[in-house]
Amino acid sequence: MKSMSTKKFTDDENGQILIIMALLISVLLAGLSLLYTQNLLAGTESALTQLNFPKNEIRDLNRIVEEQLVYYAINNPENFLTYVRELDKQITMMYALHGAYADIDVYDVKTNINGDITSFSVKIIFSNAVVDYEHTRQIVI
Amino acid sequence: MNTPDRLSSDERGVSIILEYILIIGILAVFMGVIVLQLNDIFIETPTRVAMKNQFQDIGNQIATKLTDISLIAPDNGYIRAKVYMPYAIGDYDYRAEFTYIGGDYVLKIESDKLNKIEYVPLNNLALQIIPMGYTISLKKDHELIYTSSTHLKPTAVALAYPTKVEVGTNVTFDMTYSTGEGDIWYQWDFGDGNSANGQYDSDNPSNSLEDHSYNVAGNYTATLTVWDALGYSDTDSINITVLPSTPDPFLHADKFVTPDTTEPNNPVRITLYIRGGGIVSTARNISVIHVTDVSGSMDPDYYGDNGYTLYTSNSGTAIPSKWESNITVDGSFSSLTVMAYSNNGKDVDLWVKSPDGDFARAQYLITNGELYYVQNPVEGEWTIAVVADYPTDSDTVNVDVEKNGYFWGWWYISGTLVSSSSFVLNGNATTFNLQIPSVENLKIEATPVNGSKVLHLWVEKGATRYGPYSGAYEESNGGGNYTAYVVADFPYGTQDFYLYTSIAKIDAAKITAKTFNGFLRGSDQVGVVSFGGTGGSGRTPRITLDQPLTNDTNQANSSIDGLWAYGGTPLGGGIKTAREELVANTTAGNIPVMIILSDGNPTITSSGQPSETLAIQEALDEANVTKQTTINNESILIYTIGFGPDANATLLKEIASSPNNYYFAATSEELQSIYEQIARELREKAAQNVTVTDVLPPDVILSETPSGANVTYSNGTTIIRWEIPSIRINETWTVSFLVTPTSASVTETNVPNASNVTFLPFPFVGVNFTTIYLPPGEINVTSLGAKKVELQ
Repeated sequence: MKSMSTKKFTDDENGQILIIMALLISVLLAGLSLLYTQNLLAGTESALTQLNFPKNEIRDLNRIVEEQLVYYAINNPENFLTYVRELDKQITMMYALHGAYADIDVYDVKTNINGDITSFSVKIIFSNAVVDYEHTRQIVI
Repeated sequence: MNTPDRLSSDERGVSIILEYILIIGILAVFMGVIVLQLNDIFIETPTRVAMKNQFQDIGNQIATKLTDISLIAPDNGYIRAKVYMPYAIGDYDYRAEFTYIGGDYVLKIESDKLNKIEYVPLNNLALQIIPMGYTISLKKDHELIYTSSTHLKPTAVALAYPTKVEVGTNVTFDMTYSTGEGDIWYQWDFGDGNSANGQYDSDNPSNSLEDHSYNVAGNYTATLTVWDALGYSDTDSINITVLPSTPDPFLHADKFVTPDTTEPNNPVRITLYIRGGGIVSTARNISVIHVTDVSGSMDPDYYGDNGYTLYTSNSGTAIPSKWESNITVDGSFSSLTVMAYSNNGKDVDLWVKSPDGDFARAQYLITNGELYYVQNPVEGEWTIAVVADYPTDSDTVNVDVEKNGYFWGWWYISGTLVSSSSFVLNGNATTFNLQIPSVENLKIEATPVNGSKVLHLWVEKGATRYGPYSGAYEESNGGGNYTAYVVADFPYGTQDFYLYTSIAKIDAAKITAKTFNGFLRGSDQVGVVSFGGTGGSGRTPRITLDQPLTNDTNQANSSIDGLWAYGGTPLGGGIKTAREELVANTTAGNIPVMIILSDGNPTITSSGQPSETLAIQEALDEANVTKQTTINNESILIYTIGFGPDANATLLKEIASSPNNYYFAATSEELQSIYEQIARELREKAAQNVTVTDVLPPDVILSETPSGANVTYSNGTTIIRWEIPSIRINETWTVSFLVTPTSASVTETNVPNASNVTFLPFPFVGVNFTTIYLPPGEINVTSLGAKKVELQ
């Protein structure tokens, strides 16, 4: 009988090892789950910060209006709208290369008796994945 | 005995059960404690940490975009910037909202369920935009929306010329320098009880000029009111002095700011406007040099049709002179033959029309006429038409109709004569008499308009008639009296046409320069400089002083007649040679003038380099040197004329003394009228030694250096000064530049009395200068309210 009891006790020790192993695996799984949860919750924003606001592209458009269009208006008023159309085509194509849409639309061109342009209105449009921008300006020459 | 054994055995059994129970109990308690902590340890704590990080990410993203928006915020438009927010953080939704706490705008992000709030400071953005609105994470899209709307109010600018005038003489009132958004209406109150109004037409600004004369001498204030479609209006006024007699030469000076309402740090434009007025009975003498392009492109011999320019154009309608008859074709006709021929050899053309409407020209030539032949003709009524293809006189024409004739090889074997007619056919031409000056190349051409019917042209010079021509009549070394005949070479309908007479561009240049010389008086001087090329390639510069300045216009005309076109276009060299001649030989007191005519780009430099870029630069450099050159205190006046479609208008406009001194001529006729206009424009001075000074106060910053100005700074003020040798009667001098007002108030862009125009007045003797003080150029500088950005 005694020897039989000893054998049974040996079997019980195996069960304890099983339980201890189960506990260890549980703790391991819990740890992994913690790491996973924190990754899941904290990692999504990192890529978004890479989407820069296109303020320089928009500033460039405004600079073109302030400098190039005004230059055309002062120096070549008779061909002003032709030059603007050509410039607009180039701007649209160049911005399209960078995944954006840009457009300048000139209207309400006023001239004085000498044929000089005194003012014009221009609508500046920019659009990409992040920003839609529209600006209507009255440029007084 | 049994009991202790059973007991002993039970004890072991109980002991094992108890062991398990104890272990299970301990594990249960342990697991219970763990389970109680699991939610906190595994869910809430990491979620809170993650949420804090995410909230800060979102907050920073929004704050950054808010800053970006403020940096490019349009004053009239919108910006829509996407905001990226996770749908939920650890199963918890949340809300982002702009709020105002303790004097600062902050972004508040909170999750009600997790009871978590994060504040992201917006650093008290000195952005002049107010953030507002909120969004919840469960929404599909999130945006920052900026909107702003402004309207450019009208600015009235009242100008008039002349501002001193004799009773009953027209004054032109000009509102075209006024600005505003969209449609603009105006009203002039002339100050004598009369008024005029209208709508500004941007396509035809001259329609917005108003002429008015005053019947009584005195001082009048004319007031201009302009208003736009929204009802905003502005007024400006100008003083008109009406005299009982003609006014002496004078200057009118004005200064205006557009727009006259703005925000601080927004640039506005100041324009200074000076115009000479008055009348002198004794005109001054001029010294003028014709600087003429004699490159190959001026001559059709080297440049084909592009070397021609239109000299005259006439129009007419060609109507055929014809005889018409019908013939009935029946089943007995195995073939139909129609022959038309003249008795005396005049050219007659034959057309035949079948009953089904087919229309055909005779296929065969016969002696003095034409023959039409067709087998198995359609039965019915055929129409025969004979047209006189000669411009004048008449001839007897016979028309024979046969049936059942046939061809044996090329030989026509006559059939049965069906009918025979004989009649007199007169020529019918549209006739033009042309007087052409002596030219190197002449081209006369009849061109159909609104149709393409065939026209024939004859040209008669002296006793000789040339023609017929379906295209153009061309002649070298032509000129004299010509008669052109245009004849309709078709049987039905009429044809409108133009008769174009073209001459070589070099011929047109010579003719018009000589016409200009016809306006000169004996006391004026005239010279001729030409620029072209020579050598095999035409690239060797040929810059010639063909005629030094002389009072003898006949001699100058002979020099002009001697010009010939060939080679490249060294424009810069031509300008330099003309300037040197003006400097060397202009009679004291004369107005030095250069009239440059060119039909294309400069192609070679004066040193023979075949580079368009260098040649253009050389021309600009020489023009700038010329503009800065004064002769007896007079600047050289440069007029430029672009002749034909290839002329470089931009370049010639830059070369001219002012853009108004550039002209474009498409035809010889236009060229002539331009030369006549220039001859009229060369008028007397209104003022001499003109100094224009504008002084900006410290709170008005000069944004760009004005053209031709000398800018200095003193005690915070900006002094801008121009020196102008002279301003002529009816000449306008304007300059404009951007300034930026820095403070919000009604700001004057002048330092009182310091901004003025001084000049030596007519009759330009002595040392007493006249001063005109410039108007203050007020700007209303107002800060508009802060703009709003809404989070949605």
